[in-house]
Order: sequence, then structure tokens, then C-alpha cells
Amino acid sequence: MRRTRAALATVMLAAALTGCTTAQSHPPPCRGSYDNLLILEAQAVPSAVLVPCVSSLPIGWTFGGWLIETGRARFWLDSDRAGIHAVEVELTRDCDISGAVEVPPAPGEVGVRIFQEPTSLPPAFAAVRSMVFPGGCIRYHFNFQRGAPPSLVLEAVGALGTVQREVLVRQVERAVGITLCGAGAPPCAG
Amino acid sequence: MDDTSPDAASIGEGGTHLGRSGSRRRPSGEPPPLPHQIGGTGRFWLLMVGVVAVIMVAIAAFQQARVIVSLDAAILRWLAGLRTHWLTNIMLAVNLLTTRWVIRPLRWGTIVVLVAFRRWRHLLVFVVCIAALEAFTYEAALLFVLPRPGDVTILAGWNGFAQPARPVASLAVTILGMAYALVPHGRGRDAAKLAAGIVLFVVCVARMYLGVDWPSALAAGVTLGFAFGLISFRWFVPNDVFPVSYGRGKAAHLDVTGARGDAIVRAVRDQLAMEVTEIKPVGLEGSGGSTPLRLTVAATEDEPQRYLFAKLYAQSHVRADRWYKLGRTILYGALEDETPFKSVRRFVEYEDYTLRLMYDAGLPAPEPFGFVEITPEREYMIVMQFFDHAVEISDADVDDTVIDEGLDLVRRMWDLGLAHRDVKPANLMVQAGHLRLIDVFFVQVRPSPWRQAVDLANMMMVLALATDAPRVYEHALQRFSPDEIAEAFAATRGVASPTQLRSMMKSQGRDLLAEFRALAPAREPIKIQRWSVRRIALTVWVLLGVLLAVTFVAGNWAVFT
Repeated sequence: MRRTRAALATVMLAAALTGCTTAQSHPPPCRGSYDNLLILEAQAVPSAVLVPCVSSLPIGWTFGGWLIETGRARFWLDSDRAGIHAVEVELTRDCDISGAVEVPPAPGEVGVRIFQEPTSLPPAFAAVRSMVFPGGCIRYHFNFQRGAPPSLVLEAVGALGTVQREVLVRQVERAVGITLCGAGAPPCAG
Repeated sequence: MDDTSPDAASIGEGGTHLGRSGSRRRPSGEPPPLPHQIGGTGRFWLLMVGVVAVIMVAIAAFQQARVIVSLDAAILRWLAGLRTHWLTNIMLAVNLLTTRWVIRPLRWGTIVVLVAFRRWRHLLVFVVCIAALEAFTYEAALLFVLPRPGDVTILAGWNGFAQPARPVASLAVTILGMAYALVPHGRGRDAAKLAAGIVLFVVCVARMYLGVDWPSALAAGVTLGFAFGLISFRWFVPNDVFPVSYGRGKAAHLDVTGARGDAIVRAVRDQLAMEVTEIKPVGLEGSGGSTPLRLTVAATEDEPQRYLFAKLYAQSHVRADRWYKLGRTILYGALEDETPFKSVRRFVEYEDYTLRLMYDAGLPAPEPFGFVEITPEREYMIVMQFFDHAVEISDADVDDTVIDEGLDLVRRMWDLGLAHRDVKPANLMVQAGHLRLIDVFFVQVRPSPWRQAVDLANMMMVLALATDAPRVYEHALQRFSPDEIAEAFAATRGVASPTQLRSMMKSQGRDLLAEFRALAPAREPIKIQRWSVRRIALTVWVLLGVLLAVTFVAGNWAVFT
């Protein structure tokens, strides 16, 4: 009986302590095989042909966490210079780009339109970069701490990327034999 | 095979009823009177926990767990094939049960009811088990990182990874918690649990139809929700000790009908060689620590039909006693320093010992008949003499004989080095004009002088309730010195007296403590707050536990708001 109670108390304590922790530690990768977080992002916005990911984190940047639900997928990066939650990446079906200025896409950003909107200038830099494409929109919300150089935006943008949804569809089909319903996939039941 | 021991009676002669002629030894391998069984629901949920564990380990071990996912997907495809506009609307409506707009009002409603009825322990268990479940399923979802279903279009909203199905787990723990915290034990609760099962089944079908959860994730969610609820409530607020009741009086007692009733009859027949013809619960309102019973024993060639008194003890009573002693140690300190019982067997053995001690010493306590085993290490029943036609002292005529017998009783206990520690009207009976003492479970050998002094004060106040303080004081002076009486009332105040005694004095509007203090020589009050390392450590330990629980609930408060 004593052992049972001890085991029960341990489970409760473990549950109590782990309740304070957050999310998985690795970001959705742009390269490599099947990744569940990336799949979940794709499921949040089935119409989006692109899914945001992280290609490689520069020194000083870490994966902060994620929140994914129907219609919206978010993850964020922390920086030792730009601060906690310095960049938040958000995938939705649509986004409001009124007030934003369209800029030319960077090399590799094919089939997308880019819009930028500075919301706060240094010393506390904040801006929104929107990537509009068929079936979805990816927004990078930059929100740097005071004194952080705006040039860190380049580091962040360089770390982020997108994956074609159809690539994920093929990966899921290969890995578990089911269809990742939505853009790039054959029609699903229902 | 006949295991009867015809010569046992001669061995047992000398005041004990153990080993009476006709008692029967249980052969090795034969089940006890009431074998321990986890019950149908217990077996089912144990099986479910096993199944869920296998599924989760499989998913963790093979990441994508292709076989399970394929099976799940096949079920979802079949259900998606049944989709129609009207059926989808119905399923979406059913799925609303898993939203925060339904679950949180249910939780808050339950909390409000529990607060209104001051059912604090149920409230604590309800809140903590929900917070623990939410934290556990949150972490489990991050551990198993299973995406949402494929192959079918998802028609309802979701949040985060799919394994286990957290909204369903939340609903399961909530409605099961409501059944245990709000509905009295018995048919009502059985019906509530059945209704909870039906609701969850319908919700699971709806969520599969809508393609929002894998079947295996739903199974895990329901199992975890029920497991957290069942374990928490059955362990921390067992119905035997903390019953849910909306009427007057307590019902913290074991059911003595059905299988347990049959087991009691069999146990008394085999172990005490007596044929019980009726089992009747008695004095339930005055007993929270056991189930008191009156046994009717059939007439034999030597003895007429008679009654015996019995107290049924279960593990839940041991746990309650442990908490009670912890509280007393924190309240009174070293004066009440004692080690809690580790098992129900030790518990009942101790009462049997004190009963024999009192009876052998010639005190007016019931004659002991020993105890019987109902379920090994889980349930025992102590059997003793039943005082026929005895009434509680508060309902009896208290004359000089009764007063003298009450004071003699305390004097004798002092001389023997004993303290009863629970002197109150419910434990003092008057039978044919003579005082009888019952419930000797709290008797302590070589107690602290403080405890002995409190016994005297409580006895004098009980006697004075039916008479008056000067009269009792005069009788007391024939057995105790004025200084001893002064010590008794200097040692006694507030919580040192049983609740029943204090409430009876309050209802009569009498301050007997002050009356006796006025009669006795003046003496400074004796401090009952004694501090020791053990008491401090226990207090700190309890405070830390409370702090941990509060921190945990506060950290997970979002699940209620």
C-alpha cells in the first residue's frame, strides 16, 4: 500500500512539475524526412501550398515554442540579442496587408508576393513581413527588444523558409500510407 | 473435510471467546469470507489502461505506428462515408460538449456546489485531479507528437497534437468527478456513471465522424480521464469515510448487505462459532471511524438468542485515522505524540487489546469476543458484548450512583495508568442504573498526565450536564484532591473536549468549564501547545504539501478560466 501511494504521489508530482514546461524543443525543419510539427502546421491550414519552417538557426537564436490550431499555426524564435519571442512566424489562410508595402521577393521566394510593414522604429524595432501565396499567408512578426539592431531581421529571415505542401503530402503517404488532406493531395473522403 | 476443533473450548476457558467449540480453521487455498476483488469496472479500466499503454508505447517506439494509424484511418474513412448535411450538424452540436464553454461551466458549477455544501476535501480532489489530468495530457501530447487524422477532411476545430484526445479527457475527468463529488453513493451514482459513459461514447463517435480525432487517441483520452477521476476519488475520498450526502447525519459506513453481509455471517460462524441471524447498523450518527453493528446471534443449547456489538473496520478507516492523528499532532504537539497504525489489522488488534485490558481490569467496558477476518489485510470486524437496554447518559436519569461510578471509573483509570481520551456522552451508557463505558479505541496506556487530567474534566462535565456542577464537584472531592481537580480544569479547554460535549454544553447555554474552575482552587491554565522537532517537521511538511497543491493548481488555473 505504501509503495502504491508512493507511486501515485510520484506520478502526481511528475504531472505537477511537468505541467510548468512547454513545447517540444526542435523547430519544424525545412529539410529532412517526415516531421510531425510540420505536418500539424500543414493540417492547420489545409489550403496553403507552402508551410513555414526553419532551415538553420544562426548562433544566438533558439526555438521558443509553438501554438497550432485549426486555421492558424504559430511558432516563435528567441534571440540573445533581439530578445525573447523576437520573431513569430504565423501561417493563416488570409492576412490583412492594407498599409503594407509590396517589395520584391528574395531569391528562392518563387510564386509569392512579399509585403512589409514597419510598425515601430529603433530603438525598439518592430515590423511585419507578409508572404502571400495561393491558399495561405505566412507572416513574420519582428518584435525586438530595445537596442537590438534591425539588421538582425536579415539573420532571422535567413533562418526561416518554407516547404512545399505537396512534399509533405508525399512524405506522409510514404511514411504511414495515408493522405494529408488539402492542397497538393488527392481529394479526401467527406 | 471437517476442520472443527472439538477441544478448543477447554483451551479458551478463562474469559475469552476465541477458539469456541465449533470454530473452523480456513484451509490453505480456500478464499477468505470476502475475497478482495477490484470489481467489474476496476477490471475494465485496468484493461483499458493496458491497451492505451500498448498503443502509446507503440507510437513512441515506431514514431508513425503505421499499423495503428492505418486501422484508425480505416475507421474514420468508413464514418466519413456516412456523412450527410443533417448528420454533420448533429455531430457538430454534440462536439460542443468538448468545448471550454461547456466544460468550464460544469467545473465551476461543481466547485460552487462543493463550496456551498462545505465539502472541502471533495473540492480539493476535484480541482487537483482536473489540473493533474490537464497537465499530464498536455505533456503526453508533446511526447507522442501525433498529427491530426489524415484521409478524411476534418470538419471541427482542434488544437495541438492528437494523442491523447485532450478535450475528451477533459470532459471525462469532469463528468466523472461530478459523479463522485456530487452524487451520493448507490444507484444515483451508478446511473450518473452510466450516463457519463453514454455521453462520452456519443462524443467519441461525433469526433470520429467529424474526423478531428483518431479512434486510438479517443480511447486514450477517455481512459486517462476516467483513470485520473476514479483513482483520485476512490483513493483520497473513499465513500466509506467521506460520503456524499445531502440529508442529515453521517453515512460514512460500509454497506453490510449483499456479499459483505454474507461474508460477516460466514466469518462469525467459522471464526467465533456463532450463528448470526441479523446484522443491523446502529449508532451510525455517532461513529465516523468505523461501521458499528448489532449482531443478532441465534440461540444455542447453552445460550438464548442475544445481541453482540461489532465494529467493522476497513483500510479507509486506517487512512482517516492517520489524517486525524496528523491533525491532532499538529494541533496539540508532543502531548498527543503517537504513531499512526500501518494497517487495518494492527488497527483492530489494538482495539481488541484495549478492550481486553479494560475488561480484565474490571472497568465497566464491554466483554470482548475477539475479532474476525473478513478480507485479509483489508477488512476486519471486532466483536464485543452488547449492552441491552442501555441508553446514552444524556438520555438517562443520572443519580448519585451514576456520578460515583463515573468518577470511580476515572480514578481507576488513573491508578491503572490509562486514559480513555474520548469521554463524551455518546461513549457513556447507563444500563439498569449503572454506568457503562464504550468505544475504547482511543484508550492509551501510560498517557501523558495532561490527557489523564482532561479525562477527569470531561467526565465531570458530562455528569454535570445531567445534574449540576457543585453536586459533581462534591462527589469528586471524595476521590480526587482539590489540586487534582484544579489541574483537570486548568488542562482542559476548547478542542481538548470532544465536539459532542462542547456542542451539548453550548445548546444548554452552560459554561461548565467556568463553573468548575470557580469551584476548584485557582490554577494557571496548562499550555497544551507543546512544540517539538517532530511537530515542527510535520507542520512544515503539511504546509509544503498545501503549498505544492496550491502552486500546482495556480499554475494550471487556465484550465478553469
